[in-house]
Amino acid sequence: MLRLNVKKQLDPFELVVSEEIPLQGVTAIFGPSGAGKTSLLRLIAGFETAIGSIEYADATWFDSTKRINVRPHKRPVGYVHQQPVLFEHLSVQGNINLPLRFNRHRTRRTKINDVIEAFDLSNLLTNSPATLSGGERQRVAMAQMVLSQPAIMLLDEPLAGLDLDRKAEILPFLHTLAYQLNIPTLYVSHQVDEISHICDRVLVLQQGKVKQFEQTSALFEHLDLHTLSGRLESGSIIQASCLNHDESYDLTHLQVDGQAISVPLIRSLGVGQAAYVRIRARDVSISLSRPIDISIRNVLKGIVASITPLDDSPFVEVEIRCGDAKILSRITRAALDSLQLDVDQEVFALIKSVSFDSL
Amino acid sequence: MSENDLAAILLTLKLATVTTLILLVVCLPYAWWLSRTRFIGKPILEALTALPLVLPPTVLGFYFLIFFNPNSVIGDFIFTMTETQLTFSFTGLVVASLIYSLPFMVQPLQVAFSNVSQRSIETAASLGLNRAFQFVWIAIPQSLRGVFSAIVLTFAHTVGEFGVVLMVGGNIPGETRVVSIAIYEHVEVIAYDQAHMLAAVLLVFSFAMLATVYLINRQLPLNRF
Repeated sequence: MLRLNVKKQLDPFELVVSEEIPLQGVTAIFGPSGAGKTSLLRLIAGFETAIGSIEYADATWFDSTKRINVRPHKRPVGYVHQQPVLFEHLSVQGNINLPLRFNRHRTRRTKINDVIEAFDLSNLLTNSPATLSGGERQRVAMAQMVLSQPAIMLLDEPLAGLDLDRKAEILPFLHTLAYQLNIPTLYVSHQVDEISHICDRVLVLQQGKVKQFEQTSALFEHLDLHTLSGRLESGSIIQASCLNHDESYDLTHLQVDGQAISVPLIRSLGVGQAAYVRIRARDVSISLSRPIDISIRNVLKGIVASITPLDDSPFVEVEIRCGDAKILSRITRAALDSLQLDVDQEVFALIKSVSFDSL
Repeated sequence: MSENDLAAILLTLKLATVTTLILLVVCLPYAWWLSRTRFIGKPILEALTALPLVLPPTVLGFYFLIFFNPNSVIGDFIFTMTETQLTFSFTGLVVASLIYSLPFMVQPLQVAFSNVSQRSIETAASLGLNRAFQFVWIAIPQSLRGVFSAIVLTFAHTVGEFGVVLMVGGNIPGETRVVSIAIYEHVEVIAYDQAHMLAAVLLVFSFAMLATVYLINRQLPLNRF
């Protein structure tokens, strides 16, 4: 168990986490940006201090009352940043070899060649980090981290800076990391699709507080992510805040990126409180102008961020960006062509149905 | 060139080399610490370190004479302990040069070290490098330009020192008579030919050093090992 019992004052709120995290599989730390996810990882890695204690298995890494603070290099922790840090004065090979010189307290030997092969780096060894693409840098950083033979891995949004193709390139490696090497992992993300792919359980952080900590499948049931077949269906989860309640129509108005949407009345939701809404891709249609004589009330203006064809199907998935929120829409290729949609185009997302969780 | 002038050139090079080596060893860790610390007295230390930049050399030399002459408490103590006199001696010149050239070593190093990102140091730590290894394997190799600039600037600045030497060392051939003093002396006695020779040596030498710094700084972006 990784026993966390920490409090730390962050700028707008206090981070308070008191949980026991099993040392097995992948635990996602999920929440909106600025919820304290990265701060929590930094506390575990020993880059920052707090009030309270951090215990790993039988070892105490940090205890503010006993004045214990094991220095970062003595903690068997592997940390990968969102923008991977490589040592620019060393070649890829030099970067990968670096931890091998210094891992006295780490006993298991992983063979370098296996790691190089696992991360598909054999063609890059003599390159300078400056010549690598974002995805390649991330793979080098992960290989380097693995060779430091950590007992626990902390991955801070390792896919965040990458486009969809690069993400697809890295995801299998993440899977390798977590399950073939069998190293317990904490995985920070605010992307539901990544979490549903690789995480066993999810710790939901909001404003520095743990809102939920449970198995991934259980969490996603709240958000109605499953179809009848039990498969995860593509869609998006966006953060909204409660504007007001309209008792006469039994509606609650939510705000997303300065635009209002309405959902069936939820009395339990306080005005201003954050809520997550799940929108299935197949429930979103696209219009080039704001439709007027239509029964759909939830229309969000946004920009087309990407268009992804779905293999062997008549559909494409269109990602529409509304401020920070991203909404997936599934439309037919025929519709795509007749609307002549393109990236960066302004469109209106017509949302037929919304499911909701206050978390 | 007279034997005397040659001796002055050799003495100058010896003084600059010794000063630069000592300062490098001391200032590498000091500048690294300065660039990372959140110590509350840091501005005071930075101000003290920069002081020789703005003080007239005569002021430094004057205080040096006051504190280190053999009749002063400190000077007397040093003499009893080591039997070296710090005024009008080569050792004294070295000590004075260390103070006089200190900012030229510390400041380029501190600037270079400040550019080493905190995240790369944290990553090194999580890979198992302790603080000393983080410094030797990450900070210094990523700051080679700064290290090189600091070495050359310190060396060149020590070669060009005059006021402090005159106050502290005087003009003892082979002991404290460095090139700048020798030129001054030649001019005093209107031996312009010899003054010309030495001045030209210093001019060409200084230009060559600075040109080397700028040239190498351009070609030393990220040297890989």
